[in-house]
Amino acid sequence: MKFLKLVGAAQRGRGVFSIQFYRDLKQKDMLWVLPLALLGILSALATMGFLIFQQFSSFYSLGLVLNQPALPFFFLTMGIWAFGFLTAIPLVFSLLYYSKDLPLLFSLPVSRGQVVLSKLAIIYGYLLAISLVFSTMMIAVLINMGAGNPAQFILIALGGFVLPLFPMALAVFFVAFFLRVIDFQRFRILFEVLGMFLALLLIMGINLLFSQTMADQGSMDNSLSGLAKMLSALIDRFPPAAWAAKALSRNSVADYLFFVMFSVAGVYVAWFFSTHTLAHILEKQSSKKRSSGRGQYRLAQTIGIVPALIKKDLFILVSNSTFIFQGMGEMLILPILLIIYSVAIPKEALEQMLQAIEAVSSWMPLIILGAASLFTGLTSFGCTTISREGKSIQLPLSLPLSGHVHFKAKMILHLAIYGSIFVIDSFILTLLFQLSLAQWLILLPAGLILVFISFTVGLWIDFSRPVLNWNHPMEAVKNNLNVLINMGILMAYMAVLGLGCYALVAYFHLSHEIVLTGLTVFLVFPAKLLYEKLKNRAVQFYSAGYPGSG
Amino acid sequence: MISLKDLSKSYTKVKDKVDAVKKLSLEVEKGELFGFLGPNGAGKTTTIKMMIGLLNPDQGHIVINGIDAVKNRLASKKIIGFVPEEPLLYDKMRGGDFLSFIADVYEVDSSKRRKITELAELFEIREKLGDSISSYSHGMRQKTAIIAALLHDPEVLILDEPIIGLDPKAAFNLKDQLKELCAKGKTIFFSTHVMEVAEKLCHRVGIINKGELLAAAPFEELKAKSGHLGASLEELFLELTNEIS
Ligand SMILES: Nc1ncnc2c1ncn2[C@@H]1O[C@H](COP(=O)(O)OP(=O)(O)O)[C@@H](O)[C@H]1O
Ligand SMILES: [Mg+2]
Repeated sequence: MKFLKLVGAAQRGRGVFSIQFYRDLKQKDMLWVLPLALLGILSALATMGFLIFQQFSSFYSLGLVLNQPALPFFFLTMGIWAFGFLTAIPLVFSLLYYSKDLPLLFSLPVSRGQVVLSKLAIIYGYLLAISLVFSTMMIAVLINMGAGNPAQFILIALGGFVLPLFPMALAVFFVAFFLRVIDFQRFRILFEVLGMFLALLLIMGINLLFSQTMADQGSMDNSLSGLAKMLSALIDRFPPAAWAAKALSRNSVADYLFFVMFSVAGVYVAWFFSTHTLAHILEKQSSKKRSSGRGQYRLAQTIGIVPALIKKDLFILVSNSTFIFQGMGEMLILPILLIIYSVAIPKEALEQMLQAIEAVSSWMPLIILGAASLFTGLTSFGCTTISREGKSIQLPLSLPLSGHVHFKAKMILHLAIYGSIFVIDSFILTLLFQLSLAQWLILLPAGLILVFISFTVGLWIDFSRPVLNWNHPMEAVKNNLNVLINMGILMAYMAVLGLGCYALVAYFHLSHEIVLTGLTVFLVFPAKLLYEKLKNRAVQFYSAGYPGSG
Repeated sequence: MISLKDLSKSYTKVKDKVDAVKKLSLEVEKGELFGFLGPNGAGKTTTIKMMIGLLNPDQGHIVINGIDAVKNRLASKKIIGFVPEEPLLYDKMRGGDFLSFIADVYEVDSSKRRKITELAELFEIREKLGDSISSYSHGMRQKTAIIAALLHDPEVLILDEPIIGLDPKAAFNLKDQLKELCAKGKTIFFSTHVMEVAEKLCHRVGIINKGELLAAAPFEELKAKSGHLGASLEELFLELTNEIS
């Protein structure tokens, strides 16, 4: 089982959960970050878990009404498969086929198959986390409904371990297929973005289908029986998912075995295929390196120090697909969500929602401010700015530039990107909830100051504990504890601000214009203070030398 | 001129403490080409990192052209050109863009930017300036880093094992450049473990082992002192570094 050793080595090398990591924290007297990170993790898990719980509860009730007890389990399976597949695709790219340590690993006395297996095991680890959240929520729904029994709970929990296998295999296969068919290195990023887009369209399509069938049939009974027919047809179309659904809903051992065998066989085929594809890719890569240059180069124009630094940060941002994905995803999350919902939610439901909103209309500007601030603050962009530079930060550190200048460049870039995103996001929400333009204009200044505050908080965290010695970009953004600490702090201060505003409106009956204006004026002080503090922190950081080792 | 006085640095690794540089003192005159010799792990890179500000010394002083480099980092960094052991570059940039970036942050006038192409010509990567750095070989990366260090015409040049990875012709050109710069009155400090280079090129060599400076003198003087007039630097070096262990 050599591959297990490789997995262990990889995790020791980069894992957030490694013992070395705690030792490092302890040594630097930084154990205080753990509770903050925990708060971040918990709030993320709670939101995600809550959404899934609600969704499964309604599927469960629907299953009861339609007399199809397997229905919620079918959706559990499909949910894990869909999410697993989407998550797996970028992981398969960066951890399997284009992993930087492949040449090293292949030079070890370990077979290719074992190397691939170790990579698959790491990818499986990520998918497992998602799967376990889903299956735990399913168990929670059953308990909440007073249904199910311990045997079934155990089967579902075990199912959580088996379910990620198939989407992983599918992703490995899918990516391998495309890698073989087209010369792909060039179009890689385009392709990845396209894939994400297609997946979104798929989700939207399914949702649309549902709402259409619901809307088309006149009476409730009709629509229900129509839906039941459609769902059973859907379940019949995907036998493997049906096996899983039946196995879990009826404790059927035969179905369970089918489903496990199917998953394992899928992984086996994917493993076999990807081992061969890897050899193919490595060959292609090494022949590509030798290609010659483009000839003449004309010198770039002088642009000045701060623009040069901003350009450098942009280059780092597009230096690999992990950063690009993370960045794009975070920047576009609100518009994407809104598009999905606007297509997916039936008109009637939307109208009802709007009516409900009218009841709290005096709150809407504050709610929009809060929502848009969360969407622009809950990002890894600010709190991994330094981490993303990695070991190459030694270059900026050796330049004759004060921390002020670096700080200024990072601030301008952040405000330019996230300031615009706040403006766009809040504008979309304003249109959606039919607020007036004046109301939008009133909430803008407070929002922009909040964007700035989020930036300073994130950068402050990253100055305090930058992750610089990474080998894979994932360690700098996705696996970086800073993101969770940032989330924890942001949640805390947004809660405080939210409660404050709530008190002002609810108990003192102040109008939202006054509250917003007051908030804006109030926020200027912490923003000013943070600006000064952070400027000094930057100077300190950039004159203290390289904090990483090696 | 470079002056190091009682320079010390130790690393703490989980439990043990490594004294990488111990009370190191030396001077390099203006116009001098100084070779800093030592086996792997001797403390060369650590010393250099302290000189250019990537590490702060635990103790001691660094004065570069009259500027206290620890207290006044910015001013000292401005007059230093630095070639690190491993080239620090941005892979997604084209070679030419990277050099323009360096020119921008060091505020090199547009009129003086021709130097980029001249140096690229000299090191034979002129045609590669339009390629992204990720396609460069190790030697090309090293050349890019050297050009980046020379670009802003620094008074003091500090190079950490610059010859490794260069092809013979580029190594020759680099040595030539270094000699020429010295003749113009620049101060050059470079580390190496290749004896031959130091023997032929340097006015003076310093030998460091386990963080301690064993000797610093012109090569001939070292030979005379040790009494082996026919000895090569390599023999002297082995003798000196063995005495300690
Ligand atoms: N970041 C670090 N953390 C701990 N020890 C280090 C670190 N860098 C260097 N060392 C140790 O310091 C000593 C000197 O290293 P270095 O200055 O890199 O030597 P050289 O450049 O002469 O090969 C070595 O024993 C090395 O192991
Ligand atoms: Mg070294």
